[in-house]
Amino acid sequence: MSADTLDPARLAEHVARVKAAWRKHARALTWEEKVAAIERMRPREALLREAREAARGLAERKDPAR
Amino acid sequence: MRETLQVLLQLRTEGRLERFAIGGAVAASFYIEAVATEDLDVFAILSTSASGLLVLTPLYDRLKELGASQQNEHLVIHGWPVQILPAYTPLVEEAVVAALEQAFHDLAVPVVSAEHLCAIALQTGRPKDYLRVHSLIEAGCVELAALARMIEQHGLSERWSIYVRRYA
Repeated sequence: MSADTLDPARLAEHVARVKAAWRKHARALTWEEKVAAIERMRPREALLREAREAARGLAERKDPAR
Repeated sequence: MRETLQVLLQLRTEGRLERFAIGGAVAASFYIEAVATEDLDVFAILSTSASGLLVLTPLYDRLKELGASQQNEHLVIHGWPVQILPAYTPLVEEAVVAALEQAFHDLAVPVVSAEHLCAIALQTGRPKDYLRVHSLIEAGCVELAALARMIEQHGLSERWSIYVRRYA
């Protein structure tokens, strides 16, 4: 999808199409394949969780009343 | 994951984890697309001591013998953080009893039904739980009459109304 087509309506349509394609793909996966996908997501999730916790800690230090 | 599940099945064979079923995001991934999760939720009906208390020490000790380590509220079994949750409501107990064994590689693993996953998600009631209800229903894997019976029986009508109002 080229940048000149990024008007909101066409973008929403594109996102819906990608999501539908992903759902169709996901439905075709076996449980073992889906669990393997979850396992591949775990390092990224751990990093995100650490970042969220660090941000929360920072916010609490700035505003101890939180 | 296969090794993790194998340890749980071994504990069942040994009688230390009498009855269990996989719940949470890993169970949901049996029915719908996978979503990220940090742990494996295991709902379990555990035996109680003579005084009626749940005694987890023998189970945890055996898990440690089998190579598990403790990390906050989780037991890490073959790299997967596992949360063993004693069946804390009649609904969760029913979900464990009704779970069907599903194939994972060469193992037969008890997995909570799609209807029970929905009902438990309604009972838990966080935004991500309502999203799970929506995904399971939208995927067509929920028998709505069975879910309606659970909603009625376990007092979840208000939660269902919230779901319909906000997410359906």
